[in-house]
Amino acid sequence: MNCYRRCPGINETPVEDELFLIAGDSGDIFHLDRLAMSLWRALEAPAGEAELLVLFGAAFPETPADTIERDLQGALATLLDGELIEVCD
Amino acid sequence: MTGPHHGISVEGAQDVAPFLFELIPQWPLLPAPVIDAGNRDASAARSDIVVRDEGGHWRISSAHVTLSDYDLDDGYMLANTLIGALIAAYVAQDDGLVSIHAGAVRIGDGLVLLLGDNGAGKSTFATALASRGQRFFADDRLILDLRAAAPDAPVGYSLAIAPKLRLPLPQDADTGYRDFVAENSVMNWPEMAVLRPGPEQAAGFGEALPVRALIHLRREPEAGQPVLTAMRQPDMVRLLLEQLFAPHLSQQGELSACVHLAQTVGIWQLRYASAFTAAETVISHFNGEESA
Repeated sequence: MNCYRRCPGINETPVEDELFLIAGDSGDIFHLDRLAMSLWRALEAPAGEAELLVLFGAAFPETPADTIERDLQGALATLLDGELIEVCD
Repeated sequence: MTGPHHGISVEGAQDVAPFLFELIPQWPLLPAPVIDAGNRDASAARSDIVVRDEGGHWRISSAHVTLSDYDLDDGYMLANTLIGALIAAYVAQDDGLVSIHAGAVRIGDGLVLLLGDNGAGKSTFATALASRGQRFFADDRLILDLRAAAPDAPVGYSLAIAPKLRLPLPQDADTGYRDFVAENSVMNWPEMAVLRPGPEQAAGFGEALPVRALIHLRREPEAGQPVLTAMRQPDMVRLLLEQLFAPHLSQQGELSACVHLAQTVGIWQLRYASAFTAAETVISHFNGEESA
């Protein structure tokens, strides 16, 4: 499974309990929903997908594992598309 | 044209001037230098905004806003787009200024701004409030000074842009509103009217007031009575990112401006079916809030 880390040069702007990010290269502004924000927080240090699945499984014990996996992959894809995170070696 | 710190030069707009000065009759003009024919190209290169006739199609170019996708062959549309370019050039002179796509009306001692997508009813709502005695500032575009001296509140400046209404008027428009429109219409097309409310009803160019509230208009034909509810700051910031226009600011500057606005004034969402019923709700709420 892939390992992910934050891209360098991302600016964070918290608003109440949510987060807006500005991508360093494109300058695009992203609003993170709660899952994406949890993922962003979890990637303060690089982490693998398996590690993230365990983390999110513990955080949402009542959510079925396949739902967590699907939502996590969706959030990873969103952050990757926005060049907010990248795959690490 | 007058800017906040120095003039805004416009080249080649003579043919559109009649439309332009119906829409922005109060925007102060500055004397233009006389240019001889040999220096015309050099002068255009120095201008903030250049209007060109390219084989029967008008195009506007500006250093402050990207308009290259527009192919403007209608005088009214050309004038309206030129106003957008003027506003971009205006705010570009001062990092504290931004433009916002919103209606604005004075209620009590401050401005209430009306935000929403095209078709949300900003013009109808702003003029419905004006027809009920509230001072009209804008139906579509307003300048905000985010560094203004007013304590804890940005200041909105009117550019005295003539409000535009789609025709026919809504079926539920009351007699007072229909009279207001009829008395103030200066241009009419089958599908649109341009109004020019008098100085006792509408703010003049540069008239300013602190902003006290932002309202996200949500027109829902199935809605019953109008409902005004407090809005979350992240939701308002997302809306403002779509409606704030500040091409001279960095993305971080634009986001900071949106956050500042959302954090310093009241933020509301209004679900409504009829602008004329909801206008009473808004007046009552903000006048009541003022006296509370």
